[in-house]
Amino acid sequence: MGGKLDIQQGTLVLMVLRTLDVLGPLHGYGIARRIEEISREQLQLNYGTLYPALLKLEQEGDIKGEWRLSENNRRARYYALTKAGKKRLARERADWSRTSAVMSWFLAPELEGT
Amino acid sequence: MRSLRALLARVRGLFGRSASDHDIADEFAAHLEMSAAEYERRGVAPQEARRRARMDAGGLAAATETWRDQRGFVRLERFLRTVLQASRNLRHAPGFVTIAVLTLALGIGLATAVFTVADGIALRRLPVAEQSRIVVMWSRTKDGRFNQYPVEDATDFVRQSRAVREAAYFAWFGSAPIAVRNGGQVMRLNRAAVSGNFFTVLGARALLGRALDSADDEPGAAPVTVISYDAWRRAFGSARDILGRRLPLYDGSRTYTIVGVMPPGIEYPTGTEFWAPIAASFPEKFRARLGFDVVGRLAPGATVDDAAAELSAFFVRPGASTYSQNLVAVVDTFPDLVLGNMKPALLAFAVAAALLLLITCVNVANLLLVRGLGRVREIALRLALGAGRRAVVTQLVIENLILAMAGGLAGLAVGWGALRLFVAIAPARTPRLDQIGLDGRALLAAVGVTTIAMLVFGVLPAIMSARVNLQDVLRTGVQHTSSRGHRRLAELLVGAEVALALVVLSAAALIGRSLLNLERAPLGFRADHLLVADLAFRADLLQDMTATNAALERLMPQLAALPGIVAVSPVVADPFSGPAAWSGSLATEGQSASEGAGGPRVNMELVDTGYFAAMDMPILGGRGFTAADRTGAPMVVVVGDSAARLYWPGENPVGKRLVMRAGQDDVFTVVGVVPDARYRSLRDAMPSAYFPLRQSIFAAGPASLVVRTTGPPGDVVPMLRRALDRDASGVGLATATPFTTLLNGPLGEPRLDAFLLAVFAMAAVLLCAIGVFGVMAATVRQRTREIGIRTALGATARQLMALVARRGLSICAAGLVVGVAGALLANRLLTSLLYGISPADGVTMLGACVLVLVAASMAMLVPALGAARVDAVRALRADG
Repeated sequence: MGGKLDIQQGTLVLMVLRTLDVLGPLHGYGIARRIEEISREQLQLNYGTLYPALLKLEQEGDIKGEWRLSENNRRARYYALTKAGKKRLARERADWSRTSAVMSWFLAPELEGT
Repeated sequence: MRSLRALLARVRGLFGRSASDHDIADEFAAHLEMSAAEYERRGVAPQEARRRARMDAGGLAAATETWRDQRGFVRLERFLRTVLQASRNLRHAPGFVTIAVLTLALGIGLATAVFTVADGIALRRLPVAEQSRIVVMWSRTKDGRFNQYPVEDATDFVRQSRAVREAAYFAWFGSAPIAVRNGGQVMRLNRAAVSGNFFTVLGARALLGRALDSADDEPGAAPVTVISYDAWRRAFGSARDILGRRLPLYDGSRTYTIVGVMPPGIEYPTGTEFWAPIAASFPEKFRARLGFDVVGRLAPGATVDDAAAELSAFFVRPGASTYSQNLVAVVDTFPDLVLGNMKPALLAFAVAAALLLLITCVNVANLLLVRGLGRVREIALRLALGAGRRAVVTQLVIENLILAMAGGLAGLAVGWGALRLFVAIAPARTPRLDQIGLDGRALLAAVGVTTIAMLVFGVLPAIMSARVNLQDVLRTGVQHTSSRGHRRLAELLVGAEVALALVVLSAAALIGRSLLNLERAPLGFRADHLLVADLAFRADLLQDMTATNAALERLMPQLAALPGIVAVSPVVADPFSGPAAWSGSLATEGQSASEGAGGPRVNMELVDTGYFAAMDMPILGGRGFTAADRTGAPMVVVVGDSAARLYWPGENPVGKRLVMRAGQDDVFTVVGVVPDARYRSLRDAMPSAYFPLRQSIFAAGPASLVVRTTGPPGDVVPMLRRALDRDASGVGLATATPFTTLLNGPLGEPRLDAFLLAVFAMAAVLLCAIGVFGVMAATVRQRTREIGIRTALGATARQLMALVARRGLSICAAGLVVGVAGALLANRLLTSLLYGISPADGVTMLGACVLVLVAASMAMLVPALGAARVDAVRALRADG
């Protein structure tokens, strides 16, 4: 059990949206670092997971990317939440709360064996 | 909305690659740098920092791929790339592609066109309800003669029948030509007299106006009629205002009002151009004596056999007449009757089409195998270089699909052209050919079958041999270890092709020779410069048969004296009207009644003195008729050759005596013998007897003229018409046709059969030659090295050619042996279409074998010459 967790399908989107919501426009590396930090290094994001997800969100119009100079003058692609993305975050956040509540009821110890 | 936007973004990603600022490599690079910088900040050495950053990020190539997948339709992109590659491959083999597409086009096109014709004629629906539930019920006497039954019997039977729900009846002679006035024109149209519920029983609706109904057949009802689609088009110019038009009979006896036009395809009884109710067609007293045939609709659950059994039982019911006791029931389904006589030919074509499609498949399979041989190395190499097996297969599949599609399109073109051609040369009376369009399902089926064959033979062997011999192929550089099995298969296929081609060719040759036999069969008279003119009589001027015959007799010398006319005579039977038109059993003097009735049916003809001259029939013995052979003089008859031999074998018939029926008073003395004539039927010269018009004892008389002319027969028609009109005796000219034109009728179908099969045979032999060429060329290519060695060892060009030819010829020989066996079996299908030739005719078979062999040898010539020209040094140095 000591290894890193696999990212659950669907949760990454929520994490990305939330990250951008909290931190404002951010490049891919920043998003990855932030998610890893928040997860207390339980999660690790590689390119193959993160960038296709970013691209998908961009294609669906939830985020918008543009090339900018970073704080230390590097060219990087910054992603920002769009209006649609904000709405989606609100919706998915509510959904997720309910889902996790339901899951926790299921997995609560007193339910075992009944 | 969201997914639509995503889709649009992906489409942009697919096409707008250069315009996009979004390059993933840059983004990854930035990511890597930032990650490495982070490690460095934490005190890791720069190199190590970069290494860790890369590890964290995961596999770059895989990530790029996944990202691209998300970005556009990578699968589609890859697919398009494969298609491009496949078509490039095909472009590099133009010879192969041309031959393959031609093969497919020929096979698919011809098979589809012929299936379309067959389907259109045989399988399509007639414009009636539930056609297979409609039966026509005849009766036959025990000795096989068709008979009709009186209308009371018909109605009685239907009333008590459980197998037949409802029945209609029609005058037993079917449709008969009758002269009508159509505007200012006099023409003969075929009239069928039917009961009022005829169309109700058939379940047929009118195209325009209405069909007949029971009320029309009540005594005293206004005489109405419905016309056939064909008559509407030809005789009435498809007039829109046809309904309500009047159609007076030329004899003035009655005038019909046209109330409907029936849809095409329902010309039953065969050849009907207008249907009239029985009550409105015959006088009351005549109707009672008329015989009828019955058409009925089977009750739910009843079968044709049920109906036949019931009818048979009805004939022998208690209280039935002895006449009825002697009858046997014959029940046919409606489609069989309407479409029946085309069936053997259609079956032959269906088989031929299937064979041609099979040859096509075999041929393409062969071409693909041969091409596959040359590509084993290429495929093995690609596999070895890491191409996915799937990618290789996909490419082969796509190559074959492109070929199949091209072949299908070309086949569509060929099929369309072939169909136009078939329709153009089809005999005029072929049912419903004018409404045929190329059958989409047939085309799809043909393309489907060939495509499957192509995929099987184009993809599987290549992959299998590449897999098994991957190492061999690459290590030794020798390809024939893997391909010997291939070549065997290809040779087997070519052998099969030779066999199939022989089957089709021999069938075509048999049909062709039948046609020749039919065309060359002596008619017994001269068909050129002969005109057949249909007459029309006015009932108001010519009250009875005696008056009509007298008028004809009086007219003949006047007509014969017209310039350009050599001889002229009235005649009863229409050309090629068949044996039933006017025939009977005669008896020789002294025969008993039963002997006479059991004798052969003889075609009877009632003619004037000019007849034999008009027909240009030589008198073989005795004399023809003279003006002295008239009522009061001794009764005379002229017999045909075979009738003479039938009645008096080995004796001189002249002076012998015949009676109409045993025990009758009228005795005819034979005064002359003429050759048998193929006037009633082109296929059979039937025994015939000619009686002089001037001493006719018959109730009916001639209604046509035969006219021998000096110039083209059509030229005398206006003069003939004027002469008859001027005479004003009540005899008019309806239609006149040169005999050579009439010959097209019975020759039309054999000609179409012969033409279609000839096209098939040519295609089959051509495809076969292509197959032989393909496999032999591949053999030579494969054996280049061996041939090189032989050349080096001193083999002559002739020996090398023999080496190739021997292989090819032994394949052909094996194919021919199998083909002859198959042809002997298959050609039995043709029996009813053949004329004067056996389905196992040796000369035909030999000729077909020789032709196939010659074609195959010619196809072998090029590869054999190639073998002879192999350069030893080059061949030995080459690794192939």
